[in-house]
Amino acid sequence: MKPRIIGFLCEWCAARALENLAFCHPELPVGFQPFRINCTGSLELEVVIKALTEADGVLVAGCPPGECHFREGNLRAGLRLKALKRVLSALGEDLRRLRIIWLSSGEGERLGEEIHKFYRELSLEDRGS
Amino acid sequence: MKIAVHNLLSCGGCDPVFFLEESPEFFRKAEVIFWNKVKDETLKVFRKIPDQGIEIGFLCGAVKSPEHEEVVRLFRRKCRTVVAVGACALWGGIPGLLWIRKEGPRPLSSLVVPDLSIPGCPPEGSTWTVYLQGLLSGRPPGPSEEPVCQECPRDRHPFRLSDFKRFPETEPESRGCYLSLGVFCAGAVTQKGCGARCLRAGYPCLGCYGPPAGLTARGERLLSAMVSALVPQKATEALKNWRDPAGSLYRFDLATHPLVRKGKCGRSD
Repeated sequence: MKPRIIGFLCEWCAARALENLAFCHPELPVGFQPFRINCTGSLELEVVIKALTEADGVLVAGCPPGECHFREGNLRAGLRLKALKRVLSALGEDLRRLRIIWLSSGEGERLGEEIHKFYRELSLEDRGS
Repeated sequence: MKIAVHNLLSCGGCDPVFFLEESPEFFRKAEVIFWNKVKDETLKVFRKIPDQGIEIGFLCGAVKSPEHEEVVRLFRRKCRTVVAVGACALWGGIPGLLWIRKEGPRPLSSLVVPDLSIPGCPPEGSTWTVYLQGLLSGRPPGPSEEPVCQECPRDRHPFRLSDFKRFPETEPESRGCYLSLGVFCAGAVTQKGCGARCLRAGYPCLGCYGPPAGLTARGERLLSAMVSALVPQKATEALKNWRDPAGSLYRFDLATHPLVRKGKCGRSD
């Protein structure tokens, strides 16, 4: 079965980073499914939970602290996801399945590396081929 | 009017036997065919009844064992109207917290579709009356759209939090909203109907009446609201000291949580 990673990318940074990355024609792992969202602060925890039930892992990528387009959306999202991790660990869930990264729109290559790293950590790389 | 009552995995607190005085005219009309608490009968008697032969079947409690499953399916076959009573039957209830240990009971609604759901742990007497009258008149009430906060007597005001608290750590004389004190009060994500009984007695809402109509993922919503109110500088500390996350968010509906329903570790392939 093919692996599936759902990515929630903030349209002001991570989604642009993915666009930048796309110009380099990179090799992205099989099954990475990016979703463009308005801001990580607008990401409902319900959606994250739903994504965790559907996919092997969930990647949330937002702007670095202090660079949020809406001033503090990423900080709020960071807190909320940190709290969600507390809940997930209480439920006995594997915490590695939810990954939060902060990167700015120029860091396309880093986004690619992070995606590969995420796949490696969940040992999904060999499942895709 | 023939009725049947059975208790599955539950403490027995929502058994209709405790609510006989609340709806006397209903139970006076009722002819009890099967009630394992009142009449000493086995399921053998029940199996002989023709299909659809019973008008109303009350089921309380969650489903754990194969026997429970059999009873639930039997009830669905023999009763024209199946009424699920209590938080355990609807969402797994307190026994549903066993899912933290990866195995627990399922709510009754995962097996059969009940015609009427009476929420509460246990349901208030007034709720029984309203639902039973609705059932008799042919217009059974659904979940309310409004939260318990509508009935709560405590003072509401905007707030920021520096710490999460549990109920014993709060000041007894404070009259403010429990959320503003840092307590995970489920009132905001729970349908009204109980008259805010716990809150009037000075205890935060536990959320036994379930979500209001149209609200999904109530645990996550409550978490989102509480964490958003945290002062950022103190948030890390507060989250570290937060105790019993699963119990304070999913006290009555852990068994219906998507991650639990899907199997513990996501996809198992």
